[in-house]
Amino acid sequence: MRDHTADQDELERIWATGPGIGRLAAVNHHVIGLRFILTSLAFFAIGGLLAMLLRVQLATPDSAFLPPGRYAQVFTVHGTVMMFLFAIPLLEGLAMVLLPKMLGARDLAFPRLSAFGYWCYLFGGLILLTAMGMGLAPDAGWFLYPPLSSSAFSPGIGSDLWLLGITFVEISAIAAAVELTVSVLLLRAPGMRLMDMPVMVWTMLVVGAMMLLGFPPLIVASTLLEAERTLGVPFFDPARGGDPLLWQHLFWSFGHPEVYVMFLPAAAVISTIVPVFARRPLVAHRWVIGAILSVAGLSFLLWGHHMFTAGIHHGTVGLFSAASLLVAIPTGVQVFAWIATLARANGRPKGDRLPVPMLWVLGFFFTFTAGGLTGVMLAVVPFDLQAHDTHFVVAHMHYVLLGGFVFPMVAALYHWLPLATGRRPEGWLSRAAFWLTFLGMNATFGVMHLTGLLGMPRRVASYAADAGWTWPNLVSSAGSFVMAAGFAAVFIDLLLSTRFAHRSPPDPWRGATLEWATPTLPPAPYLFDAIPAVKGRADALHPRRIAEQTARGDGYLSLPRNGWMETMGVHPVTAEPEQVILLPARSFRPLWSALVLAATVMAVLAKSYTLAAALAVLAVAILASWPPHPATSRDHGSIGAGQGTHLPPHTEHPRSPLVYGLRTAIAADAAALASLVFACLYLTAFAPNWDAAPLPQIPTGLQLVTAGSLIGAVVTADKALRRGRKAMIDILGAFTWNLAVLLTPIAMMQTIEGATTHAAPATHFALYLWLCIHGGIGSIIGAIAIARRLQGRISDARRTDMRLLSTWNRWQAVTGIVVLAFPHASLAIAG
Amino acid sequence: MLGGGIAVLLAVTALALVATFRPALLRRVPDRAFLVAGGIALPLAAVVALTAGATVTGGAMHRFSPHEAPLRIEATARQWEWRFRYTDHPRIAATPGILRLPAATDIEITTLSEDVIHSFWVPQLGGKVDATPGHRTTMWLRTGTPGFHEGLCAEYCGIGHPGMPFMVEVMPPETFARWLESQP
Repeated sequence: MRDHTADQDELERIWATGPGIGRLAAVNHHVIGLRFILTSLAFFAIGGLLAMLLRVQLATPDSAFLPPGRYAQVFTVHGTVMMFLFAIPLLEGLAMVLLPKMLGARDLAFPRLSAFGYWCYLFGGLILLTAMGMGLAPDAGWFLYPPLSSSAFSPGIGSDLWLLGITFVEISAIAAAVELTVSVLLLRAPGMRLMDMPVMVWTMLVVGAMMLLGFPPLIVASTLLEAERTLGVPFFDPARGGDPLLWQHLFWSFGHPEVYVMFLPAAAVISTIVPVFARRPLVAHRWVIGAILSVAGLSFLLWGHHMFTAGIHHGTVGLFSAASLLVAIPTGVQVFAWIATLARANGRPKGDRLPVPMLWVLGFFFTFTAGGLTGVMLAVVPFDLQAHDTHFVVAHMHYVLLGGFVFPMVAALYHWLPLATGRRPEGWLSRAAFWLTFLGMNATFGVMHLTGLLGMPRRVASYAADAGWTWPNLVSSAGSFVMAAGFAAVFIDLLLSTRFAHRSPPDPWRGATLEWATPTLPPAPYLFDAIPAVKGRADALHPRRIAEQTARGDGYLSLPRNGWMETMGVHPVTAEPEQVILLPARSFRPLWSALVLAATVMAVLAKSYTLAAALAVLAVAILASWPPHPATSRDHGSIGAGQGTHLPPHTEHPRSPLVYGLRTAIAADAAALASLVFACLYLTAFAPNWDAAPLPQIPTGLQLVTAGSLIGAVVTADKALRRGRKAMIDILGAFTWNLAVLLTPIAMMQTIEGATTHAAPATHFALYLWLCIHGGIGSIIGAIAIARRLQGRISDARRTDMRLLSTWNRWQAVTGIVVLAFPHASLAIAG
Repeated sequence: MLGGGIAVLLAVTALALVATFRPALLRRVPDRAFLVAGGIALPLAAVVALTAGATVTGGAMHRFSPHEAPLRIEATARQWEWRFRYTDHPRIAATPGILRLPAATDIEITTLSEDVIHSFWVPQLGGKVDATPGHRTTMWLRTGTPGFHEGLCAEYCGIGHPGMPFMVEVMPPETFARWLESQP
């Protein structure tokens, strides 16, 4: 027998987050995830207070409580805060806290990236809030339609704040998406095959992919609009060859997947809590996974249902309508899988009260079904043409978002609170809080359907006493205060329970997933004394038995070594153990990187563009300086991983998480490129004043040099990858080619005239700038590879840096070809 | 549609409550029955019915009687006012805030905007259509009996958004024709 307690102490020492100021260097998923959750709840409270201001204003006709300008700021910031600073970060936080535990890993694949994402989110949110405090908030509605949000009609910095702040938060979301996707693919417990993953884990994989593909359109749209506002480069101004409808297409092709990015994790919470309550695995596990995949696919095809009144083509409207209606089927499958699971319950002790999380789940069944049904009604075009932009839509979306997202999230907070606090809240206040919220919510938004059908448009600051909208508005306002009291009670209940609730034994709900397989609550920072191997469905396990096993050291990686933070890496499909993944230690760099980026954003807001450029360079330098793992300094060969296996560390494995991380980021980049090319082609084909477009003529020689550099970079980077340790010359070559890809587009941009007078040169300008940025990223990856080679961090076994260079350059060649082909395509369309 | 929606809502909620509190009542229903009947058949039937209904109604809204030429109106929006012109009577000056229409007639409304996006909506006459700068968007509606209707802007267009209502006066066709004649 070995002395296991000494090992546990050593693990504790290796994985702990430092005290005092060291907390700011934390990278642990549990700590960062909780920070995400707590911050998002603070934003929820702020968004809720704003909503109460709106309800006070609307409680009586002709109210003078908020002047119209202030009212516009409040409804814009309410929507923005709830969507971007509450909902998405909350589910990211929940995913971060839960995912490693459910996967049987000790942390996520890129802990520093999680920390960086958190700081970006926090600073982006604070910038927006400070501005609102100063009365400078955006006021064009949370979807910021131009031209109302353009500089002509919103000359202040309100729209800039929205565009930059939200882009900052979106970067954080993309970081989280890379993190979640790669972690699910590589960091699962050995033996957990894809089809055995619990629904929650499947959902996180799907949602990660949806964020990677769905969020870039908004980043592209925001960047283009901000460029139009600050630099005068037109994309949305119809007088200069732009089109306001382009914003709507880009915004909603983000906005609709986003709704399901929120709903799917909420549904996964239901799919997790219902089986725990019913004491049996989820019925029709595979049907539910199929439903999740179908919803994810459909969600990318129905953005147009926000635009039925925009005058888009009749046939297109029909397709969007049909796609929207079809969502009812996979959603119905999920709802009835939950009902069937409940109906098959393996009993519960007589006289036991319904657990609090189940109370919220039942509240979800009612409110979400109601929201889903009004959604089906709105998907019917003739009905939508009446109800669009009225309070009916406001009621619908609050039913979906509160019923379909917030209620399950509250259930999740109650269900998983023992993981965070080691205590289990269960008192009269928990129940009172539910009933107040549930009744208040239905009073507020139930009657609001009627307000909408009576013809009250959304976003009006006041209405006449004789419009017939007085009493339903008063009911909504009264209901909203009951609901607010309910949420306040939830907050107080959760807060009190961190101190006063009963200590929870391990696995308090008798769950069946790995997050409960820890011997103590809250779990140790390294989670598992040994990483368990699992067999069969990972939502039908015996956590207590596994906890006993792993506490004995029965499992993988139970012996600490070299002060390394280790977790298992498996084959993405078969889940065979393949590599030992070494995770980075705590670091202040994520904080510094985000701080400098925040300073960059503020410099842009202050219109000091030189300072902004300098800060941006500094931010990139800090990001590039995140230190590599100490294990990259030499070859280790196969090292013992427990259970008699010997595996290479990830630094010596071709499927390094870094390579997967880059590929995943490239998926997001591809979505961004697709959005940008869509924007350019859309304007070419449909913009109202395109005819007089002066198309720029790029010299053929310049185009050929660029094409040559793209190919040169691919060839040399591939050669570098093949030659391993002896690759210095090839790395230098690849670096040089990448520099050429950085520089030639600059020469191209200089040949473009009139980028501020017409969208045609502006689109070309944007595409060459895109290529230039990519050459810049390639150059940085090349420079890092050179540095690593000089530091002796590259060998025949340690080729990760060349793999990254090669992967990037292949993708860069694809984007380059698209960019170079665009002028010819646009000529063909315009001609 | 509303009645069907409420019925489904009550049925699903009742089923969830029964499954939670009295699972024994549902013990004999096989898993597949839940999924196929509730998860697929029920929503599919609703989708088919709604699509069929929407196609009929939507087709009707798209154009009423193809034989009769509609009265063509140009509705121009700006912050914060609507002005209406009769496309086929260009000599008549634009009327701000009031739109006079003959009763029982097909009307073709083309919207334009001089600044930001607005949306034309007369709740009692039919759906709405956006007025987007740079675009001419068209919708059709049919007037009923003579009377007054209120119209408004449905798309948020700045702080004056609630302040751009307009009046639609539907007149007997002969009165309308006389009014048209009397215009300078």
